[in-house]
Amino acid sequence: MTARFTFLGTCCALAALAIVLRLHQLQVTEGERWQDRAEDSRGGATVLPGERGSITTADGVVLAQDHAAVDVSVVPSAFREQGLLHALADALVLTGALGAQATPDRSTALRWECHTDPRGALLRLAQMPARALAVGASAGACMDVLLAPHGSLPRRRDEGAARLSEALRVLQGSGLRAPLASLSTNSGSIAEAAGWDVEGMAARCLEELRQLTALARAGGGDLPALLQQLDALALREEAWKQRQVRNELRDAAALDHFGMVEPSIAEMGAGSWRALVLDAQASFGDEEAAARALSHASAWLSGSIPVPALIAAVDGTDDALQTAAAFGLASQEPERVLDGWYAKSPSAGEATPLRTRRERELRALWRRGRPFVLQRAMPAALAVLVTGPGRLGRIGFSVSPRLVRQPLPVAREFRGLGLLLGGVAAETSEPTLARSVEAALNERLRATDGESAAGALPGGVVVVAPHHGTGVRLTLDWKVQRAVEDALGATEAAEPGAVVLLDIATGGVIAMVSTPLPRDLNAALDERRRLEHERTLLRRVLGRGEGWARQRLLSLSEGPESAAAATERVLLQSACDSSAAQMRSRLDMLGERLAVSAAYHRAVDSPEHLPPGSVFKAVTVLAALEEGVCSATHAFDCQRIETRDFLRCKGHGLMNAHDALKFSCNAWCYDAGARLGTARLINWYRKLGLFDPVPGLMEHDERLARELRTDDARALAIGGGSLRVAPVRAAAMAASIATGKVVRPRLVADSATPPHGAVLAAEAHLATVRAGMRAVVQPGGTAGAVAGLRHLRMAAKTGTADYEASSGERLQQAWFVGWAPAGPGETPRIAFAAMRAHTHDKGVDAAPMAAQALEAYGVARPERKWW
Amino acid sequence: MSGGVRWFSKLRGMDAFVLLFSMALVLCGLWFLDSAGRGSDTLLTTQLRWLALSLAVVLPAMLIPWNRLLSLAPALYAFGLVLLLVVKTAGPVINGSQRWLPLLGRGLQPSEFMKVFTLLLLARLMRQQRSLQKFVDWLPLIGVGLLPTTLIIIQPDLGTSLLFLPLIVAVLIVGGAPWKKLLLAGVLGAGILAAGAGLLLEDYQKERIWSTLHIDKMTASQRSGPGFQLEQSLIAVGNGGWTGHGHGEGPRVQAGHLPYHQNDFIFALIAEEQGFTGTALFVLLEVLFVLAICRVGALQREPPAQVLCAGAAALLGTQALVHMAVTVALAPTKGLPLPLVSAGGSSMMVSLLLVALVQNVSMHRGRWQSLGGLSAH
Repeated sequence: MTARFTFLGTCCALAALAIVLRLHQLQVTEGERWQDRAEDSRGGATVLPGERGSITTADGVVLAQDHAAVDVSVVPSAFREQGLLHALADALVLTGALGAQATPDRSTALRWECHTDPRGALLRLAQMPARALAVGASAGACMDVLLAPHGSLPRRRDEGAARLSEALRVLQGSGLRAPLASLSTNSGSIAEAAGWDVEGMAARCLEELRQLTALARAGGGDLPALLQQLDALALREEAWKQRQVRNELRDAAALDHFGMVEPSIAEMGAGSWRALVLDAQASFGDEEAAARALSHASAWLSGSIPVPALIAAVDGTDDALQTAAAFGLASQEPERVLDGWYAKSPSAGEATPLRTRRERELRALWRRGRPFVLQRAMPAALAVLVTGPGRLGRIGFSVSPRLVRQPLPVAREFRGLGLLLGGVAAETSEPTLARSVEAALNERLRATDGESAAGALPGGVVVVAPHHGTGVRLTLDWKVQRAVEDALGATEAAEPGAVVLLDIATGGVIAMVSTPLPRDLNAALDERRRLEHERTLLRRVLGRGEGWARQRLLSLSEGPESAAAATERVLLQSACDSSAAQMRSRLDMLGERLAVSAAYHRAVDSPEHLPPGSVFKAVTVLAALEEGVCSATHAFDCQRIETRDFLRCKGHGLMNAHDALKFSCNAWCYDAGARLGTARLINWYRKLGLFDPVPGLMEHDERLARELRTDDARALAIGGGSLRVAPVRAAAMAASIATGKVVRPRLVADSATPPHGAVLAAEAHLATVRAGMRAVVQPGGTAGAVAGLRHLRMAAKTGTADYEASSGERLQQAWFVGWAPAGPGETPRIAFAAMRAHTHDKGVDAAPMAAQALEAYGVARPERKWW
Repeated sequence: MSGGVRWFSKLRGMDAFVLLFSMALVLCGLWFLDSAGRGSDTLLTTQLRWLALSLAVVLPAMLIPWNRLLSLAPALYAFGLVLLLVVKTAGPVINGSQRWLPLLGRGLQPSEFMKVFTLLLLARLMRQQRSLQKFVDWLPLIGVGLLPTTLIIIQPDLGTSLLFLPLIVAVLIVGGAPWKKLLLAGVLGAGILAAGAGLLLEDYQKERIWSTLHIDKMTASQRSGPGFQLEQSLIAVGNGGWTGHGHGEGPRVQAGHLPYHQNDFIFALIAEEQGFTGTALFVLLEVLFVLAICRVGALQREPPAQVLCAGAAALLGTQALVHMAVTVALAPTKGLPLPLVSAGGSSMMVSLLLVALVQNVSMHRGRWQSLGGLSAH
């Protein structure tokens, strides 16, 4: 039996041996071939953009949608080395156009001239005598000019000649007919010597200029700004490359000479140091080159210790210091690490053939560079500028497709709606505004990008398919929304307020308007963030003391520099320089500005505490009847109550439940609240869905429920205490009373939760409350005197919530909440909530807003009009 | 003796070599998956979760004596067949085949588990049928092997179905079938397979075979289509050189050029990052692992125990060798995970189940003979 198992094991071992042999063939014998293929096909993965779900209104108007766009990237070194205009400037510099006083500034001026008048610059170059080409071959001084911010990166000792040759090749569009040395012997001009078609070259230069200008304009800027941006990217690219290459070369050099990657000075030893000097001298054949290379090598080896210090440390002789000083190395830093290293060969011509894979990779790193994103989310039509022969793609530009969320004309035109929808960041595709439709429905709308690996076909091979977000249809009626905005005269100057219209049958919000409208949505949101940030900081400084502020300042100054950190530093410094009274005063001012800010959609969000006031007496009365703490006929004399003045009760006399609503009697509800208790009232709020999420708008608010637990039931009973309600919830409360079932408001048409929940209360009790609310708009009721309400046949409740504003002033929030039609036997259709914030008005003053909104509804949807 | 002590005493009977090499493979797998995650630890944590779950499942398979397990074999085999039928009729179509059953939010591959159930039934058959001298004696074994093979082929999942072939061959070899008859059957079987391949293989499968044989002659559309994986795999392997690019540094894999680098092509990741030296050592580890299983089998006296070990060695060894052969273009492209190494819950669980069966055999022997055993008695 052992033999049979041995047979099985042998088969396995032989098969494994075949695999190892094959591995050897692939990785060792044919290794270079596969490595070259890996190098050649380093295209990288391409992003396949996923489309974020669109948002439409109930009547099919698209409010937000993804649009095709492109990100434009560039490899700065490719742009500098392959660009016609850069090549033209290089050629002019290297043929001595700047003369003996070549400076980086003059080089920059010349380059700018090439980018503005390429034709003139080209003619100037073409007419130069051909012997000027010999200058480039020995123009060591020109190297410094090339190294200026606009210049190219050197890679070889003979960079001058190599770069001039490359520049002429780029300009000519094909290889030079003869080497520079032979061209320079020609007695004619450069154009004659090289056989240039000057007009053709000028046309290509002008075309490149046109394309670059078009690219700059597409990004909303101009050519100088684009060139500056490219310069900034080039500096980043250079820093990145130098960091990479310096590390690699330092390790390689250290391994070569010392057999370890990071030798200390002691480990290097004086003997090794001298050997390195001799080695360098032998390689370069001249002392200056050896010393320069040595300075780089020593810096790689030692980190960034200056050469003299290193020499002194290992040698300890004055000669070494003098030698270093003689070569001007006392303060030299190894900025151009490749200079000398790859040209270690004594031959002045071509660079040394690269021996190892690591060296090849480093070369590739320099050759290809890394693309930087130049401009994000540009119009898709821009791709034409970049792709195709003769386009910007040949000089290092590339485009990658993406989808961006752009506000549609409807959302731009109706800025209040834009506030409700919110935005999506172009970089992260995440919502930018917390309380917005984009944020509330993010999970559903969100898309994830796919990935395509580079393949032989243009599209590559899809590795990960993109996931597209699901579109959302809102319950908003576009026509009604517009009509209500128009009817209310919603402008930038309007007072803070909101109106919500809700379809009772579906629970869907038909229209929700907030005032004032933002003049510029993004600017308003930026200001809101800034003010809120400052308010938070000031509150912290006041709460935690100046010590905390000083400590925070210190940590900010030590941390990474960013715009946010700079802003916070300024704010903290200002806070530290102010007294507590000044800070409080500033806080009041901030609160005041936020209170009237246009950057809040007040139907769902508010800068201030929003108590519903007497509007919630309807809930108190219903709860009192349903819980049995009083009957519908229970009579209560509000004139007898001692705290009548405190409660601002007008002394209505004997009141029952109906009259308590009609006259909005504080004392009656105060008494009912005392009998009900806080817990029972909170249960009723929970039953009404006050803490539940509103799909597409608001999240679950358990925090409010916790805060209410410590409140006095009597305050809650009159809509005070910690109670706060957004208009959309207030409208839902009215809808619930109208139908007798809990109505769950929503902004998403296909929400999973049914619109109507459990039965709210006994029909008799509901009838009492409804009758009381109908009486509110009848003569004698709190809104009975308002013209234009009765023909709408509504039932409603006024509310005036008194509060102290940031400025210390006593202000009010006026509410008018109800439903219509509310006539006998009529089925309620629309619930509404109108609210005016930060005002001296009373609840009754909000009633006209509701009437205007309902009238507008009738105009927009005449088929659904009931009056 | 309390239950815990008795269990511990049983565990001491495990074969040390199998334990050592399987643990080494699992740890290697986790290390490579850390790299395959390309900066994200999702792959690694998911695999660790599966590993924990698998260990919880395989522990009973190790502790219940194997002869008791064999009595459950017919029921398990029937259950496996039903699952295969269910997956064919009601399973979701993913990438053009029906292989997975959605379970607890994840995909379970019944064909993987069928390998274990078939092995158990084959071992049970060998308990009853002591002789394999005649061709007719082989029929029950071949029948038991071919039935699930057919059901898996029609999913279609050619890779997994082909693993049943070496399983049957290994059972026949250790079952004592005469060498001459095995050779004759091998020649006949190869002929039938070749003829069947010509008739039954789909066009894309033929094109994959062609690509494997003519790597340098592939057209652009073939390089982007059926030969894409193969070419990317070879570039990644070749790019590894002698010493590789280091853990998490493989440029091809890390740049996302090689799809399925975490499961069907993890060997390419190993080759690119560890180079020839590291990869050859890894192959050696795989061979030692299979040899250790064979060694446990060779120490057994009862035919079912031998069949269990030979079957486990055949399944694990063939799967590993085919995976590696595919990666280096010695076999046509076929998606098979590397046992104990690749990402994937079903594969990990089944591989550990097979290892557990081998340990079960080692633990429940009549007497101790293994030099490598942990037990002293």
